[in-house]
Amino acid sequence: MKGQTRDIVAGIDLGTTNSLCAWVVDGQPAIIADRKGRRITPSVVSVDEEHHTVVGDEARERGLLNPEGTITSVKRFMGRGLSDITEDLGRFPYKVVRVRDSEQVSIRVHGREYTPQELSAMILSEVKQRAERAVNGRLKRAVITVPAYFDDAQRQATRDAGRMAGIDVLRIINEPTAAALAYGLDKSKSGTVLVYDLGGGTFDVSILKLTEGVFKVIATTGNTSLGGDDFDHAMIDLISADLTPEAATAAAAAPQARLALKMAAERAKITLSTETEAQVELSLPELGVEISVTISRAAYEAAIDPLITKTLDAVDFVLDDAGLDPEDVRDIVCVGGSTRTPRVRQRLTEFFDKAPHTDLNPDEVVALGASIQANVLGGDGSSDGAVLLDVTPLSLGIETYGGGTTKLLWRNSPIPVRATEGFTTYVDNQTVVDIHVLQGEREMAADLRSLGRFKLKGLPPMSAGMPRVLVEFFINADGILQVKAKEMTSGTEAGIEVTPTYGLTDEQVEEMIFDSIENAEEDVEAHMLADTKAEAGSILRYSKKVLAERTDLIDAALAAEIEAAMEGLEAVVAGSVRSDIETAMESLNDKTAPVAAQMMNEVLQVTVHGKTMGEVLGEKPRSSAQYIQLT
Amino acid sequence: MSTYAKSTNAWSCDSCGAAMATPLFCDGCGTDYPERRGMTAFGILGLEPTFSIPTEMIDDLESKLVSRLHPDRWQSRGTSLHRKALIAQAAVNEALEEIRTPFRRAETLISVLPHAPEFTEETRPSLPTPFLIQQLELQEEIEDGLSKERKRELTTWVRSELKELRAVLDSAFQLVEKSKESDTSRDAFERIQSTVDRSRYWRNIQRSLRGQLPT
Repeated sequence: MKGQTRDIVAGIDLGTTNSLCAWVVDGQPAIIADRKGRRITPSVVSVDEEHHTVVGDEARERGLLNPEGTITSVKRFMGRGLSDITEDLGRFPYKVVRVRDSEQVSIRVHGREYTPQELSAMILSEVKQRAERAVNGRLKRAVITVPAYFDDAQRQATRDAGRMAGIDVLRIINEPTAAALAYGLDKSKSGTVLVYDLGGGTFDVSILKLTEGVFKVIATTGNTSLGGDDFDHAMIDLISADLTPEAATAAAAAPQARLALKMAAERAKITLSTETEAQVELSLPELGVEISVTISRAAYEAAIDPLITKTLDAVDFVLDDAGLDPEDVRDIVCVGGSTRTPRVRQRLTEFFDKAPHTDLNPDEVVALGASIQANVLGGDGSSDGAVLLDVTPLSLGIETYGGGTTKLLWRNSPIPVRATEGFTTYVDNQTVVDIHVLQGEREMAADLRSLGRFKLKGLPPMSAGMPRVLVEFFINADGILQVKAKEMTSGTEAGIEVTPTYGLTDEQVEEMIFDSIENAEEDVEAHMLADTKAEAGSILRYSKKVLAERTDLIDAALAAEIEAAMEGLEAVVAGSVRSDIETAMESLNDKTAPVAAQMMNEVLQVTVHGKTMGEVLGEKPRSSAQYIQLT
Repeated sequence: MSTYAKSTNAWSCDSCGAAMATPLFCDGCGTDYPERRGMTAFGILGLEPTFSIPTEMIDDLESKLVSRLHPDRWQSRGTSLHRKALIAQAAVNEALEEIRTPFRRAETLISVLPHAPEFTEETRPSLPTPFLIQQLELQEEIEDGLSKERKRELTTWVRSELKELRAVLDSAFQLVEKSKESDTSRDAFERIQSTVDRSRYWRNIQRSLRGQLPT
């Protein structure tokens, strides 16, 4: 293994529900599947009582045993304050709290708080490790995608997560733009494209103009709290419609019940993409919850229609912003798993009077596009690669005296972009000026999103009104704000102290960079061995828990097999042969997997007409075209 | 007769001699010229100052500039070069937006055309009071909340007002170009200034109407 490692650049789609990694190989973008052939990493983190963590498929499987410690949809909390997510608070089985003396949120698990950035970093680490093992290389640099409508705080949080995971983030790019890149790389094609991106937790719609290799975003809008999760909740309401008030209250209060309902809803939703009915059976006798109900596709579509209408209102809005009508759009591209919903596609077709493109796997297209951009930025791409011209999705302003705002930059301004504003002082010898920066379209500061406070320090003491402080606001290609200031009379560069409202300071991020990254040895093999041992430890703990708590599901023969597999793993985990540890881990996982599946099936059941659970959950790898050119 | 914009760009790099896409930054060797950042939008884009610039010409210019300057092409060539390209691209973006919007283009032209009068607070043509009252009432109506139909009605009205103002600018600039330094030209400039000022109010209404996406 030594001496054969190489550094790779990749594109990572850090999704609400799933994350993917792709790279360009032989000039073609391709998803990196792990050694088990898995192309998708569920964006799920499981934290046990000892604060050992597992990420991905295994974390999802442990959900029912550890509902309060199984964290999903972290992306919904990135760069957000408690007041932003009030609606979401009761929906998830884990506890979301406010960080003391801050606007930020964190997730409290088994008595300890984790910021969304830390949890996202764990997911990115898992994605990174899977990719590194698959290609036998080091993934040090990547492009990470975000929803186009993510504000500055959300983008910065994503960058911070990348840093914590030991990734040099080459660029943050918008998901619809990445998708357009994957769809339309034929430089001779030109036209106006609308990208409709409905993911697990976020919705974006962007209009792009493609001209000879230049992908220009004309307008964008979205909703960072609208996605497949909301479709799930509409389904949950249908499933639990006939529960007694007592049972409904008990189910809402119990983390395991909330998780079971969500899983049932997800299965039913997926079923109804191809079937006209889904039978849902859910039994939680200790809570008085017994559900046996048939959900028709018609009822589900009626329940989600208002949500789809919201998305089409956004489409209308962005067309208006771009000064276009529906018939001006040549192609509509669907991105995100939720666009598989037949009703979504039907309504889009009605709106535009033409069917959207669905050729590429909507789960993979963003990662593929991100890898193309990573290839360009990483220096390995040709100099005539596509160029992305994106826009800032929200207007930028500063708070003025009296609580009003002055807009400095308008939404849909092409980035990078710069604005300058002059300030002066109010009192004699004032050496500090406080600037409150806001994003959004309203007029009053209280109605806008606080981005942060910038304290300009080190101004030379002068009479009030004398200093001429020129502040430059620069939004870079990531869509993230940078501020510089200079006092023009003296030529002094003002020092800037940034207090992000919803994010972490640089110092906080530095502290949180994982010990495993900071202390990682340069030797990749040693690094991978350390990770494998940590994972083995986690699997052993989980297996012990299953053996101890689910004796009802495990007969003597199976118990003996599990114990033997555990002993086999314990025997090799202290050694230094990674492949031996991995083989023993697979063997143990194979023995416990049927128990996990049985645990899920005994709690809930969705009749899927002969399909396996894996097929229903979409775990079976799908074949996908790499590139489709728009006609 | 319209005079379309012609390219005036004949800048070559002092360091490497290559022809530059914009006077701000040499995309051949990466030399930047920060002292030129105060140039007008026309200067940055290498265009002759004139009002009649077809949208296709601006789009074409944007494609060419972006292909050569975009900071993504410089990311792997070091932080310093990348930063210079970023700043140049930002200035080019700003210039393109200024030229692309007819009313902003007109405003820039008033400030750069040598025979344009300099309007002071006293000499600037004032807008009629009924117009100002109308604008105030419209803003208040929008703030109070609009039905979908009324919003659609106002949006159409604003678009048609801006279209008319654009036509006024077109003919006024043609007159200016024909009759430089004359009284006719001065009248035309007054009309241009007044039209630009009116457009500012209408564009404000347009922004208020677009507002933010209802959640």
